[in-house]
Parts: sequence; structure tokens; C-alpha cells
Amino acid sequence: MIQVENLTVKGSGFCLDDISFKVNRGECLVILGPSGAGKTVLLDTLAGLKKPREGRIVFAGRDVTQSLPEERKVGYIQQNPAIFPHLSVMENIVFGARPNRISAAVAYKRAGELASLLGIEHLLSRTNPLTLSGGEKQRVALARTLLVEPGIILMDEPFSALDSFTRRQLIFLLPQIFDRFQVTVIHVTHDLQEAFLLGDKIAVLIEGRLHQLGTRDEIYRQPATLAVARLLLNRNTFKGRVVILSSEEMVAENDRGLEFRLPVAPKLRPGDKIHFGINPREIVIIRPGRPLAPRVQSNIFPATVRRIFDQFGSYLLFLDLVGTGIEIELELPSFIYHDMDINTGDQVTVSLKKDAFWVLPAGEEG
Amino acid sequence: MKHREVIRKKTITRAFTLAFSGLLIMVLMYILLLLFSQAGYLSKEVLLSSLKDREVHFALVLSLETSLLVAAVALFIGIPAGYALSRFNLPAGAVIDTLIDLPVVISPVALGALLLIFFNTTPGLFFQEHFFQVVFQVTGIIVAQATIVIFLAIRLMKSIFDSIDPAYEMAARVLGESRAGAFWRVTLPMARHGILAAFILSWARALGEFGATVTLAGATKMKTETLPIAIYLNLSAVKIEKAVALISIVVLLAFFILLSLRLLTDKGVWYR
Repeated sequence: MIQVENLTVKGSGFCLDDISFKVNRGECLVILGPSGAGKTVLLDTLAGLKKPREGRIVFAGRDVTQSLPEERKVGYIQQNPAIFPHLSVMENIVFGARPNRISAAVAYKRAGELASLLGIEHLLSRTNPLTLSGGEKQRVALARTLLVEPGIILMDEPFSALDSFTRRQLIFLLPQIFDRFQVTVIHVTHDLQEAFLLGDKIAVLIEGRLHQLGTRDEIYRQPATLAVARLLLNRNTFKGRVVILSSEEMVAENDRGLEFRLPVAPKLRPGDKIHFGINPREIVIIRPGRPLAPRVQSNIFPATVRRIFDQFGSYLLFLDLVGTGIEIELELPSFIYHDMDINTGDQVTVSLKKDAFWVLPAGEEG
Repeated sequence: MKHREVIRKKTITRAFTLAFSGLLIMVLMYILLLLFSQAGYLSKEVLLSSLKDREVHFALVLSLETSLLVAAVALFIGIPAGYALSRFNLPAGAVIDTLIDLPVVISPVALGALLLIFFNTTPGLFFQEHFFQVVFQVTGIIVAQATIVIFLAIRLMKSIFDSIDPAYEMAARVLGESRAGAFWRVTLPMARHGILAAFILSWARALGEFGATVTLAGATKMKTETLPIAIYLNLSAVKIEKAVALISIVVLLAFFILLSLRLLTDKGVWYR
């Protein structure tokens, strides 16, 4: 188990401000954030390579805030996998045996097992690790880390330098491996897909502050701040104020006077300034002549298709809501797009599903 | 019109290549001319006899002994000091850096004079009385060479450690190695080519040192006579043939030193 309390780290050009979170044993927490958010600083601090100014780090009930990196018993896969170039692949994997007092016989046996688990048996005889590919290096680094049996593994964008095929392989392999060794994992990434594929929980770190910590669904449906909403590609965001509020419905108008029906936010009052928005995947095009399902019966607008982009697997449509000057973004799975036969300039009817909207009081953020 | 334009562009490209490589060829010719102009004084007999010559022999051995010792001492100090300079967060780093560059940059004669004056002040005299004599002695050669070369070695080792990503050490430490363990098992072996190159450069610098040596140790025949001092003494005494023989030895030594350095560092055949 990992427990971080009020962690504050300051240095030239970076800072982490009052970070607290908890990861249960065997869980994987993904720390998601844009580059420069302080993700690597956080991992460096957890591994003991940087000193915090304030706060506490507890690993499995043991306060390690002041411990040296070698005393923390964590595995850390850095962005640079740092395969020692002067050692063979096998020597790299068993590197940690000596300081951890693992006998050579045990170490070599374990290295063999890990290699077969990670699919790198054929590399064990390589003498020059500089000939390894990026994906192979990551696997060797993982085997080297797992050999010393750390209870905690920190991963710093381990897939960022890999091609998409290798990345995919590793993304599906990792959870199996970690599950088997019952390790607690903190995985840092800027990639949304990676975060949602791997994270039991996701923590969003932006500019050194933890904006939200939650399940995948919470992060997707209820971003805690506007910055989180933007990071999750919620490009349809509006500024406005609450007009009608009752226990059953909430109506808001945006700054151009257009009315939207939103899910009821109990803490708000009529007149409150708000931000609200909807993910491009939650907007639907209504097919003419079909009865409307109840959940798409609100926020119906006529729209004109302006631009269409094929983004492999889905289509991104830019639409103008007729007579409002508002441009929205809509994402359609490819098969639906082809089924509907939509072209630039077409007039369509869209529904911005009421329950898919998130609402945030304005003023919390600029 | 278009054809002429193409020809014009081609001519400009050729002129550019010719001018730049021409200058390179000219300096190469210059250095070869310098070397071959000695040939008039150099015959097989002269070279062989001077190799057997007691004075040449003495100078060669003294030079090799002092310079190799100095290079070894320089690395012994330069490796840890360079590492500290590269990795530790030292206060006033810029000032320390500048101080370390100083002995390598200032004129060797000035440095020699500095040493000579130091060894005639109270702490210097105390040192000479209780440890060993320095002024006008063989030990003076070593002190003079070492004063320059140690700082050179520190500078070289710092840049070698700078070029090794600290991520490797960090990886070793997270795997359980102490700071010292990470240094011995990772950083030092990773720096091995650099260390060898630094040794060769330090050795070459010590071998060629003249200004500081002659000022502190003097130019006494058959006593403090290193190769450069021997050349100086023989030239002063108008023994041109012997001087040329000595120069040939120096040139050959330098050539092989530099060649082995090339082969050791990046892209060289001995480099892995």
C-alpha cells in the first residue's frame, strides 16, 4: 500500500503542491497529466531521488520520507530504461541480486523464469544490450526490477518511445504480470487511452496540483475542474448561468442566451455562473423519422456539418448549431458514420444528451 | 537562360568546396613541410646513434617516468574530484569550475614562477624541509607537470561523467545499490573508455610540458633534462642533429598517442 500525505516538492522550474493520495495493495494508480505537470518529479520523489519539502510518504506502513532510494524497496522504470551498456542482458537482469543478498543460483533461476514470462528468453545470451530494441529494453528493465521483488513499482511513461504495436503488446501484458506478483503500481502517462486501459484509479495532475482522483468513470463523466475536462478532450465547453433550478430540472443559458437542459447540481442556485460541457462522443445525430429515445429528448438543435475528419476508427464532425454561432464537435464510430451517409454542408438534427453534461461552478477556475 | 543558371549554381558549389578544402590541404601541406624539412639533418645513422646516446636515453626515460607517474596521479585525483564536480550540488559551482580551469589556461611559465615563489615562502620551505626538495630537482618536474595535469584530468573526468546520464546510477540505486556501489558497478565501468582517453591526454600534456618545468626544476643537463628540455639545451648549444633526433622522438610519440586516442573514442575501432 502506498500513502502520500501533503507532499510538497520545490525545485528550479518545477513544483508539486500538497499532493495526497492512497493506493491499495495490488492496485494500479495511473497519474495522468500533460507534459510539464510534475509527473516525473512525483515519481522521483517517491523513489527517493528528490527530497520533498513537506509531507509524508508511507510504503506498506513504513514511513520512507527520509529513506535513501536503496532502502525503499521500490521498482522504478524510468523513461530512459537505463539498461547498463557495459553488462550483458543476463547481467543486467540479475544486477539487483548482490545488494539484495539474493544468491547467484536463485537469481539466475528467477531471471530465467521472468524472461520466459516477459517473452525475452531469446535475448538472455545477448552480450551487447545496445542492440536491443526499445520494447526489448523495457522488458529487460522490467525483468531486472521484478527480480528483486519490490512490493511497489513506479513507471514513468514506459511506452512513450515505443511503436504502437509494441505498446499494445506491453499494455496487455503488464496487468497480468503485476497481478501475478501482487505489486502495487503507480503508472505515469500523458496518454488517455493508456490511462483508461491500465488504471484501477486515475489521478489527474496538472501544473503540480492534483486536480482529481477517481475511477475511470468519475474522471470521464464528472471532471472536477475545467482543466481536467479540457485534458479529457471535452472540447464542447460553455460558459453561462443557471436560469431555472428545481429538484427535477436545471436549465442554464450560455453567454449567447441559448438554453440547455442540464443534470441537477444540488449545490447551485439560480443566477449562479457555471461552466458546463459535453464530450464529443455523447452528442448524437437524430435520424429523421425514428421515435426518440427518452434520453435524447432534450437539447435538440438543428445543425450544419462544416468539416469532417477520419481519425481511424471514428469520425470527427464539426457542426454549427444553426443561428447560434456555436460550433460543436461530435465523434461518431466509423460504422455509424458510413451508415448515415453524412457529407459536408448537410443539415442534421443533434441532441446534446442532458445526462452526459458535466457542470462546474464558475470562478473556481478562470 | 535556365541552362546558364544551372551552370552558375554548379560553379558556385564547386568554388565553395574548392576554397574550403583548399585551405585544409594547405595547412596539411604546411605541417608535412615542417616535418620533412628536418630530413636534411636526419639520417638512419644519426637516429640510431642518438638512440644509443646517453643524454637522449636519459631524457627519454626521465620524460616517460615523470609523465606516466603524473598521469597516474592525475587520474587518481581526477576521477573522484571530477565525479564530485559533475554529480554533487556544490555551492559556488561556477567559481570552482573557473579555479580548476585556471592552471590549464594560464601561461606555463607564469605557473612555474608561481610554484618557484611558493616554494621560497615559509610554507613552501617548511614543505621542502620536512618532505622533499622541489626546486631545481627531479621532484620539481613532477610537481610542475602535476600542477597542470591534475586540473586537466579533473576537467576531462567531469565532462566524461557529465556525458553519462544519471538515470543509470538512479536505476542502480533503486535496485538496492548504495551511492558508492552504483559508482563502482555502473558509472566507473561505463566511463572506462573516457578514463583511458583522459589518461592518454594527461600523459601527452605532461610529456610535452616545458614552461613550468623549466622554471621550477631548471634545465640541468643529465639531471632535470626531460625531452623538451633536452631539445631546448641542444638547440641552444647548436647541436642541430641531436635536437632533430629528439624532435623525431617527440613527434613519433605524439603521433601514436593521438592515433590511439582516436581509436579509443567515439567511432574509433577500439570503441564498443
